[in-house]
Amino acid sequence: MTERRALRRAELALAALGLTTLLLAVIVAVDAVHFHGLTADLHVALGIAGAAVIARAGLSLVRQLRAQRAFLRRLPVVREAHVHGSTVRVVPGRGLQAFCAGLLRPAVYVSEGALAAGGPELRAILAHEEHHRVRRDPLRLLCARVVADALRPLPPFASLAEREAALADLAADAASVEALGDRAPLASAFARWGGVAPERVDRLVGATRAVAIPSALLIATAAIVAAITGLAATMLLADWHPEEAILLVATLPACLAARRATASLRPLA
Amino acid sequence: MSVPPPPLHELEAEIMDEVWARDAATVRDVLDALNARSPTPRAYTTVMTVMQRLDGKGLLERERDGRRDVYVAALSRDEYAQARAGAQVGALVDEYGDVALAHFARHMSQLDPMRREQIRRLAGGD
Repeated sequence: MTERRALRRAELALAALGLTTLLLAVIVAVDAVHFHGLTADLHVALGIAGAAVIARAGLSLVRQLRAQRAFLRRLPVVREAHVHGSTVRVVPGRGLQAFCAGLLRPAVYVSEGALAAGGPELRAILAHEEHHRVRRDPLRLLCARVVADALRPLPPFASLAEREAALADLAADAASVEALGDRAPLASAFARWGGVAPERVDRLVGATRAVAIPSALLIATAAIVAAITGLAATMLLADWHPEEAILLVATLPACLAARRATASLRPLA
Repeated sequence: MSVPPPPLHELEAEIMDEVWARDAATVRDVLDALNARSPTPRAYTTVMTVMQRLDGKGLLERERDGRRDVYVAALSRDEYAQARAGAQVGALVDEYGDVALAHFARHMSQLDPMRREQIRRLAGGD
C-alpha cells in the first residue's frame, strides 16, 4: 500500500470515529426528547447531554467561520504569482511563511521571503501546500475541530483535530516527495524552517512506517456509519427507536480503527 | 530572522515622515516642519524626546555633527513598510494558526538535535 493511501485510510478512520459519535449524540437527544418525552431521569440526562453536544458543535462552527473570515480579511496580499505550475498569493515579509487557507476555494499563500529563497526547497513546500489545497484540508480541519469541540470531555476526542492536522501534514509531505521524486528538498525545507512536527521528520527519514488500517475494520466502520445514519433517518421519519446500549456498542469498531490510525503518531500534548 | 520594527504612534509617524523626506534632520528641522503645518505648535523638548526614543527603538540613528545631533532613518520608508507588513502576517498566522489555516511549519518549538542531524544528512543527499 502506498504511503498516501495508508494515510488516507487513517484519516477516514478518524472521520468515521467523529461522525459515529456525533450522530449518536443526535440520536440519543432525539430518542430522549421525542420518544421518551424526557419522562425518566435517565432520559433527561441523555437529552441534556445530547443537546449540549449539538450546541457545542454549533458554537465551534460559528467561532471557526468567524476566525476564517477575519483572518482572510486582515491578511495583506501583495500579488498573485505563478511558481512551478501553481498559483500562489504572495504576502509581504522577508521571513519564511507558507500556508493554505480558505474553506470552499482554498488558496496557497507564500511570503516574499519564501518566494525569494526559491530552488527545490520552494518546490517541495509548494507541492506540500498544493496537496492541502486540492484536498481542501482547511475544511477537513474545520470539521475535525467541530467534532473535537463538541465531544471534548471524552478522551478519544481531545486531540482529534491535532491528529487530523498531523495526518494531513504527513499526507502532504508524502505527496511532495512523490511529486519531486526526491526526499532531499523537503528535508532541506524542514531544516530551514525548523518548526515542523517530529513525526514528520521521522516519517521522512524512514524511521516510522505508514500506519495500516485493515480493510475489514474500515469496511465495518463504514457499515456502522451507514447503519447509524439509516437509524437516525428511521427515527425521524418512522415511529421507531432503538435501545441506547446498541448505539454505544456501535462506536467500538470506529474507536478501534481510530486507535490504529493514530498509533504511529507521537502523543500530542 | 531579525526582530520586526515596532509600529509607529501618531507623533512618531509624523516625525519619521519628516526624516524620510530628507537625508538627515536635526530636531530643529523636524520641529519647524511639524509646526509649519500644525495649528498647535509642538515644544522642542517633546520632539527631541520622541526622536531620542526612536533612536532607542532602532528606527533613527543619531550622528554627531559638530555641536548638533543629526538624525538619519535606519530603514527607508519602503523597507520599514515591508518589514511591518511582514510582521503583521507573522502575527496573524500566530493568532489564527490554530483555527484558520494549514501552516507548513506550525510548531513553535525547534526540533531536537538528533532529528535536526537526520534532516541535515538527508538534505545533503546522503
